[in-house]
Amino acid sequence: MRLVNRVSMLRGDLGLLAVIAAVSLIGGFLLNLRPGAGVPFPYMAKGQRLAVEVAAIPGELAPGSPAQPVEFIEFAEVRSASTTALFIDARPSLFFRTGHIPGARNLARDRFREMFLAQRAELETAREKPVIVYCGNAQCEDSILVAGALRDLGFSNVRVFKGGWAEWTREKMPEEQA
Amino acid sequence: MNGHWLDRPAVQWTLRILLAGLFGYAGFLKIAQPLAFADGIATFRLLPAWMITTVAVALPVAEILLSALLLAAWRRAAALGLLVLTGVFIVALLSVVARGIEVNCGCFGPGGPTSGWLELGRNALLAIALGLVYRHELTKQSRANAASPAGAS
Repeated sequence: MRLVNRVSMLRGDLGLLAVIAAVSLIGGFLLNLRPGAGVPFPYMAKGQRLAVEVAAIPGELAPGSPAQPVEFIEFAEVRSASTTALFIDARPSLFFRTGHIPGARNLARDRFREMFLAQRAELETAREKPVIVYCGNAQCEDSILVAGALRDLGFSNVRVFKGGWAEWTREKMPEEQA
Repeated sequence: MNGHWLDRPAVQWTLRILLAGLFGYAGFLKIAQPLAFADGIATFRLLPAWMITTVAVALPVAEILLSALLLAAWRRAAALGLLVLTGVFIVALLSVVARGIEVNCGCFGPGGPTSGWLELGRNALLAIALGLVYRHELTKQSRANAASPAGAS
């Protein structure tokens, strides 16, 4: 009798959970329609989304080889010696505003097209100059993706500072806030 | 009725408030940044692209609904639902640990890579707490059914 009771309760619970699953599915897709929220259906990886954004930038694409990494010491030397090198922070704008490497420009991976177009005039002057891209830390992939996008857009001398913001702050280097 | 200390109303309410707060908070963080959550799911390399979007948009809503129900009506079903979700997370994390890949679970919004073992431990604790709530609600209802005239017949 007790087992029958429990099975009956379980059946009722599962029925309710099926309703909750349906409501979540419908509610989730409706919420996904709100401006700026959209997860593409089907899902596109970060690299694929960036490729779509790059393709939408007017101009000719010139896919290049993957950007080479640059270690902290070399990065710090280039930064202190070079007056022509361009430093790109690929992290979301919120993190950039909180703190970034002095002189760096923000070209966030998640808003690449919009930010590239807004700074296009200044960026175009650096097509042949050394460009070094960084993101949060050695594990993040935004710097690699943004460096690849810049190479595709014809920037010939793009490299990636792998250690990123984490290594920069760990070495107690100067910071700038926007 | 006054059995184990874990069945005391104060303990059960505390557990439910903590669990509902945790899952509700996690759900709101994911809804705020659904694309980052979808990117986190993708790092598990378990689901096809269409399913990543489906899970990324539906799971946070389910977490919030179940959290609300855990505090109001249908506590037993809500605890079971969250227990099933936690079980699925545990299986996914076990597969990550077995494959030795680095993931960002996206459990509490976007962030860097997370340790599979740490997440497993956290989810195991959640499963235990949810199991306690579910068992309590199940026993309570069984007793109520047995005491009712229909249950006694």
